[in-house]
Amino acid sequence: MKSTVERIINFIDRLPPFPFVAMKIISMARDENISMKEIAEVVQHDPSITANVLKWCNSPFFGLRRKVTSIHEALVYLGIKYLIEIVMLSSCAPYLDKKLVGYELEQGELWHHSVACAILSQILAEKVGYQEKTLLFTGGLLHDIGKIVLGEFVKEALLKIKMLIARGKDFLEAEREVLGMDHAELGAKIGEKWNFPEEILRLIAYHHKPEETKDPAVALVHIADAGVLMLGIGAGMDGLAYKAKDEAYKLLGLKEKDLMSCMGDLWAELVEIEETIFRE
Amino acid sequence: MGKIVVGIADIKVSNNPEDTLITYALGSCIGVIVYDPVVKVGGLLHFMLPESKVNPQRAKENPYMFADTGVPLLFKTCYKYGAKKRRMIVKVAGGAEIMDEAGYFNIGKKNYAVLRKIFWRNGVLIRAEDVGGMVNRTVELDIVTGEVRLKITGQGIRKL
Repeated sequence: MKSTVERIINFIDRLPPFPFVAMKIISMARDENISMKEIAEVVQHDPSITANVLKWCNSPFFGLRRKVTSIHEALVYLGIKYLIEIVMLSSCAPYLDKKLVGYELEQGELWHHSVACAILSQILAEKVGYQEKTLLFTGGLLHDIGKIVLGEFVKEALLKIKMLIARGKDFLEAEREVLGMDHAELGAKIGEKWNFPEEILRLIAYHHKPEETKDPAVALVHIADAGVLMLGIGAGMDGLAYKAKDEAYKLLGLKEKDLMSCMGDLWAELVEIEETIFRE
Repeated sequence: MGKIVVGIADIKVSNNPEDTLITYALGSCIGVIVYDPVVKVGGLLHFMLPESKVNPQRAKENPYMFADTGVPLLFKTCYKYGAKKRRMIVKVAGGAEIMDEAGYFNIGKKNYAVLRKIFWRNGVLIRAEDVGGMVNRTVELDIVTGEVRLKITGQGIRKL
């Protein structure tokens, strides 16, 4: 009989690879001297990502006056930052836009949560003047990727997990105690398999433990995640049973009223993208 | 008509007996449900945050985002449909909290405290409530009967 951890690792090995183009774009995004032409050439290699980028460019959200028909044109209109975000959104959607039985999340709920967290991390980054927003966006989007695998195992262990929550443990501790691994650690393992850069692995692995790194990006994703959970977006049967850490506020020099104000701005952005990202 | 969904920072009021007003996944947000059984007018507000002063621009765009700007509008809209304050049954759900010993992430608690203050100042009593904890709640109001159903993710459905 295999241990639960072994079974979880087997599950990861069977996951399909992350789209090559998106991987390439992540590594290019770290290079400040990258040219629009180089990015356009990479994106064009993947027809489904190209089609998605064009669909989103032509959506009412961007409100462009003429129809965009090529990646090169899209880049000219949107700029590199938006283009990379759209590439990441369209690459991650197939993994995150799923029903997760163990967490009692209907299809679309984890996706909503992930997109909202990515956007709120950007709004908070703007507030504190944090610069490396592209990696932050991708990390915000993928922070809960471990749930897509762990969901299956959470379902089996639900009663034990609920008992631990009733005794005052948070959901992450309960996952670790019952299954031998939590969704943050597991998410980072998935990211390793997909060859994600160190910065993104750190965002995934520590998004519930910002006090263990002094990385402001981790603190931003932590607060964004808490804000989105408090809005009820993607809070399944785990609900809000996670610890929010004031160390993250201190590291960034933020206060609760800043988070509230940014949550108001998040609402406005979610309303704008609703039609494009959440309704096919 | 059927199910009318109340979004985040949104309000719906109806006097159509075929309608059910529903709002999903309240988290720390609060759902305020009001109902006048005589004229069968019901309203549901899903507000996000306690006070509009944290972001006056958003409050101007959408007053339903905050308790202090949203709650008065919920009552006023119901009055337009013929509801009377003295007959209105008020129920409250939501205001859940994330785990935080240090007390820096208190939106759920603050939402509830500000709501209580508004009600107290205006002489409004809460008939039933299910607030706090770490759970995610969904509530719906049946316009013809005034029945309020509460669903907690992971725990099933009950009447409020």
